[in-house]
Amino acid sequence: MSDYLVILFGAVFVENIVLAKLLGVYTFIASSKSSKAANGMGLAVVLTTIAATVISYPVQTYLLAPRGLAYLNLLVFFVIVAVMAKLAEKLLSSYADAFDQVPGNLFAMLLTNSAVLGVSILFSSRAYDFGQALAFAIGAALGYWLAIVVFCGVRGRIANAPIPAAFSGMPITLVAAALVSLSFAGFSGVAEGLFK
Amino acid sequence: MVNKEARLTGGILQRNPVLVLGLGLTPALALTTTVRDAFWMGLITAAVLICSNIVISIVRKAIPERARTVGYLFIIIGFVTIASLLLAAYAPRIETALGVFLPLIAVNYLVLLGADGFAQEKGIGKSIVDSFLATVGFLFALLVIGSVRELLGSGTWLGHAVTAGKITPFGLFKTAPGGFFIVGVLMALVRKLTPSNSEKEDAGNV
Repeated sequence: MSDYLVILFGAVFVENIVLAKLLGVYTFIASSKSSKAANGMGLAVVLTTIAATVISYPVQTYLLAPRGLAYLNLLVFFVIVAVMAKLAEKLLSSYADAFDQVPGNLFAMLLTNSAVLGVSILFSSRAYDFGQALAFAIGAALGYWLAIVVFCGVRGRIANAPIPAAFSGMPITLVAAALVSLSFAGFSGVAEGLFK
Repeated sequence: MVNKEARLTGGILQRNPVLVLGLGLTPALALTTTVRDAFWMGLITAAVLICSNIVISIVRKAIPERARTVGYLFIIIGFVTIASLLLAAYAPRIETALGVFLPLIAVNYLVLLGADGFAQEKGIGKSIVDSFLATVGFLFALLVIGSVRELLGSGTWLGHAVTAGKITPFGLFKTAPGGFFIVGVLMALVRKLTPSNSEKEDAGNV
């Protein structure tokens, strides 16, 4: 049990998928403008990532790997993510306008979000069993949601601060992301000791 | 020809995909700890974008409008798979260094945007030129970020000691926070140097 908790906690805080692993940075920045958009994107990433992992783990372990078809991993993972992203978009759009502030087309944002596809690629390269892969996917997805919501709060402060013209917009956003990322770096080494 | 030259410099500085438009941030942050990784990432991304643009500009009429994004991504994934198999066979060290970010070239927003914009309504020749210009800017940005981070973080450039004995390397610049910081500062610097940039187009202002 503690094994799963270490992976889960590690994926949320220590190797946070966006702030430490640097996956899905574009979506992370584009969707953290308002808390509605941040929560909408966070929830969409959680749904898509977990659902995609539940499907792609057995497909990869029992279908592709034993037949030496590992080179098809990317294509198959992509198809699964695309289907799940479409489902997540349908599911969330029926929950009305709360998420209408997610910029652009949610399906395209999920599809090109390297955090979602990256989770599948990462667990397949790490020889996890199903429980570990699921713990990793849940942790990574919740970590993405946490990061995007925390960062949204930081950006709220930036919006009201006097920023030098050259830094306004993207540059100051990235510098702020550096500070948030630095604060997550403080968790390194914590996960293993916590669940002993 | 003048126009082409202007577009080339524009793609490198005024409309640089990474340093101005903020596209492809994941590879620009993750694979710029050394100049070597940055170079290979830029080169492979360029090869994938150019090859897939050639194919897309040939088959674009056969892809229905509704399935455009997914159809383009399938073609791009094909070329990414070819690239990873080639690297695994001939340059396994580069494949290991790029790690998870090699397959993820497939969902690099820059590549998709390039496929969408360049290959869609033009002939093959023009789409090759356009995708080449975009990737030159991408490679340039990665090399600049990689140079700064390797110099500050390790005190070397392409593995050769530069500041050894004079300045103690500051390891933070090799980590994720250092990457965010350096890219942010470089973006501000580019904006300062080219004041004519419109600020509406980056993701920070969506």
